[in-house]
Amino acid sequence: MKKILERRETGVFLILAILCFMLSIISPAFLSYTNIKNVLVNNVPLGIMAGGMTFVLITAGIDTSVASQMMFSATWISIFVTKSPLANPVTVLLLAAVIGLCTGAVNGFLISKFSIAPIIVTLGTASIYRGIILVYTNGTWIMNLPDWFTNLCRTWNMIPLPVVYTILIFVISAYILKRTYFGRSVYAIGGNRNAAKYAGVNIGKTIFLTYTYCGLMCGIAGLVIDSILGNCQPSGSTGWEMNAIAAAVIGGTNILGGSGTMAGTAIGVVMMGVIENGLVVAHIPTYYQKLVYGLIILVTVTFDVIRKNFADSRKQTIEMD
Amino acid sequence: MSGKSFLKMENVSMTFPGIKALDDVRLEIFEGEVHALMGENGAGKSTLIKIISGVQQPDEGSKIFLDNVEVRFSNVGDSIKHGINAIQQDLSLFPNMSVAENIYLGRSKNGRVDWKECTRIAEEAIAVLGISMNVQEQLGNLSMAKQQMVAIARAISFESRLLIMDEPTATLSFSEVKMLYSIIEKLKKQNIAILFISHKLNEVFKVSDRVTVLKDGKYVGCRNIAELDENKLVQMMVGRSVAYASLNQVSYAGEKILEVNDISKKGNYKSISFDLHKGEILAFTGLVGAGRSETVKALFGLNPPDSGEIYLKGKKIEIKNVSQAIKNKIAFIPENRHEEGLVLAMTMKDNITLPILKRLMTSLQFINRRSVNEETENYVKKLNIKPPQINKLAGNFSGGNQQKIAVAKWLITDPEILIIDEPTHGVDIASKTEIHRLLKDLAKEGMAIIMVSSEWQEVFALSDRVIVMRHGRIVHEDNTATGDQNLMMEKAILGGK
Repeated sequence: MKKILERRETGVFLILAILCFMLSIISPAFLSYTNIKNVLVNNVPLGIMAGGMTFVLITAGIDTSVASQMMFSATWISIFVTKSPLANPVTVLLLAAVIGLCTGAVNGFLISKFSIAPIIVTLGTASIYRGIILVYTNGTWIMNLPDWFTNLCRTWNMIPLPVVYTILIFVISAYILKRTYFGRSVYAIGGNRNAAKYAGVNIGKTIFLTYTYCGLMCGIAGLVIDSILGNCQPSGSTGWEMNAIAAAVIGGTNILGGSGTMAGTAIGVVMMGVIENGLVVAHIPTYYQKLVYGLIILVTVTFDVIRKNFADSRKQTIEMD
Repeated sequence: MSGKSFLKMENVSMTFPGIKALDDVRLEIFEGEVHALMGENGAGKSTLIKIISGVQQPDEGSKIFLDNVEVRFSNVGDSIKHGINAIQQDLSLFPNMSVAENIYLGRSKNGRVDWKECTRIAEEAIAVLGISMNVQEQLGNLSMAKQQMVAIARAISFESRLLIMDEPTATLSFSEVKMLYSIIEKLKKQNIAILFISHKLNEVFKVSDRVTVLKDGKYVGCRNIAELDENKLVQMMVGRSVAYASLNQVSYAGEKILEVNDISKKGNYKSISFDLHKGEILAFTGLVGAGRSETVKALFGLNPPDSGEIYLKGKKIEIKNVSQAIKNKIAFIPENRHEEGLVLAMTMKDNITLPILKRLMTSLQFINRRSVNEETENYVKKLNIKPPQINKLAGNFSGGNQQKIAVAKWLITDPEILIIDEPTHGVDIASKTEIHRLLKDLAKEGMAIIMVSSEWQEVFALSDRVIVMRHGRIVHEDNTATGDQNLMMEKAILGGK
């Protein structure tokens, strides 16, 4: 019990619970099934990206190309399902995975092989991935995705399938982080890169795999966003990389590396969704929404940093008689 | 010590572009012996350790034998597999992980991590050291000494046969060092060999059985420690004997310049009062964590007191921040020169002139490059910084010379009071002596110097007066030359009674 209270996620979870409670008083519609479902489903693509981002942030890296990678995958998938006779649920999933693995691997290769700063590499590739799909589609939307495809993300017996997929992905990712050698290497590199090297961790390989895994998440997010929306806008979802980073950080991932959990990121994503939705149901004017949104993010993160600094300052004082 | 060879290295050379870091070096370590590796900074100790632990690969023709069978380490994993583990000076641990995982990390079955196994291995390894510790605790919450125990536990959990300890006592207090010695004894009994690297001669004599000395990347010799005394060992290391104690003469102490009256800061220091005179060196000593650095930082505005008064030349002053301290002609050279003292990516001259850059402007507010060069060269000569290349990056100088650059940077402000924290921490013996001589000269010229040091030899060799601190209070004050040195050490460890 004490352990649960000490965990970083618990604090954010409490803030989330209080926020939900307040919103349900302001507007009873907030707690309706439809509203909750919408909040969750709308944030599924962001959530899957934030999951990949969590891996990257724990290694003390950053991936600013996640939104571009997602739309890169989404665009090819929408073309594939509208044009190809080979399209079926299995081939689509395979295509999404392969595209994501490729875009992620390019990032990972450049970062690990040439030791270029991740922010530079991913800023570059973000522009390139986005550029390729814009050139190919001339910026036009791809409409009318077939029913069998949108049905992949339908609500089945009150259960929204995309939420189920996301939970599955998060559980697998959490297992990888907690229980595999690769996962622990991710923490090791972010905690102390030199020490990881001396412990025999293959730094280059781990970094490469981390960005590749993040790419895989983005590829799948691309499939899901197509299926949820029923169309694809190649120029859409700009700026979502920042939301993905924010979600992970709100959930307790250290932007300087070394710590973070999938559970935390999941709470962070829901928190982002609830804030956004709450501002709408509370009838706060659109222009204020961005302001409040930013404030809540800063307050949450600042609170955590103050808590950490306080704990550190207590640690360093000298024992006196 | 069985006298049976475990590791033997012959004809080991290592060439970096432009430098030969090691030239035909040899080293032999017996099973279960403590073998000291000595040499000045830049002698090649670190390179040799890196080769033994598989971080770097030596030139063709270098030979390494384990149990008299020739081997080759192509990475860190290879040497770990052969039972060789290095404990790096910075410990190379993960503050974000638990003690258990720090010990466990690096082994896994089919890529999976077994947490029960992890706890079991960690608890066993800790038990071998004869200490108790909660292995689920996050490492970052532990003291340096405990973290070091974890590093040792980690090493022996790999069924280590040779443990490399690089400056293991650098960050430990007296009692913690004692605990380390007893652990070393335990490891010896289990037939684990230890390669021990230290700058502190007394430690080497205390723990080691044999010693190998390197100088300028070359092998000087290997002796039984019983055949040597401190002077002989130093002679091997530097090729000449260094007079360590010759500086110990009472220097002239002039008028009172600073009076500190009953300053306190909660959780840092309490009821601190002392005087400082022109031309004297006042040493603050005591155990690590006694509040020495915190106290002297108060005089530089880094850790201002909650109560109490400070008088400069009889006038009451307030030092609430660094710029007030500088205005009052007080300079501070921190212990951690790499992080706090120098900008390593800037040239030597830019570093040295940084504090007085405003003074070196032309009338049009451009930097006057000629006076920058003149000022720098002046101090390069004064401090004997080698090579005197003022346009070289600070990071490219050796440790000893970086120290001198840091000192120059503050001397250029022409201070009346110089505060220096651990003046020779991590510096080789030759540079040490030079820094000591420099401080002595500065004092002779009338500067008042406050020095914080954990090294008793340094305190006794250099200072005129000693203040011993414990638990944030002053417990003893005495003249160095006339005072009872044993009493001082006793006070530091046991407190005033």
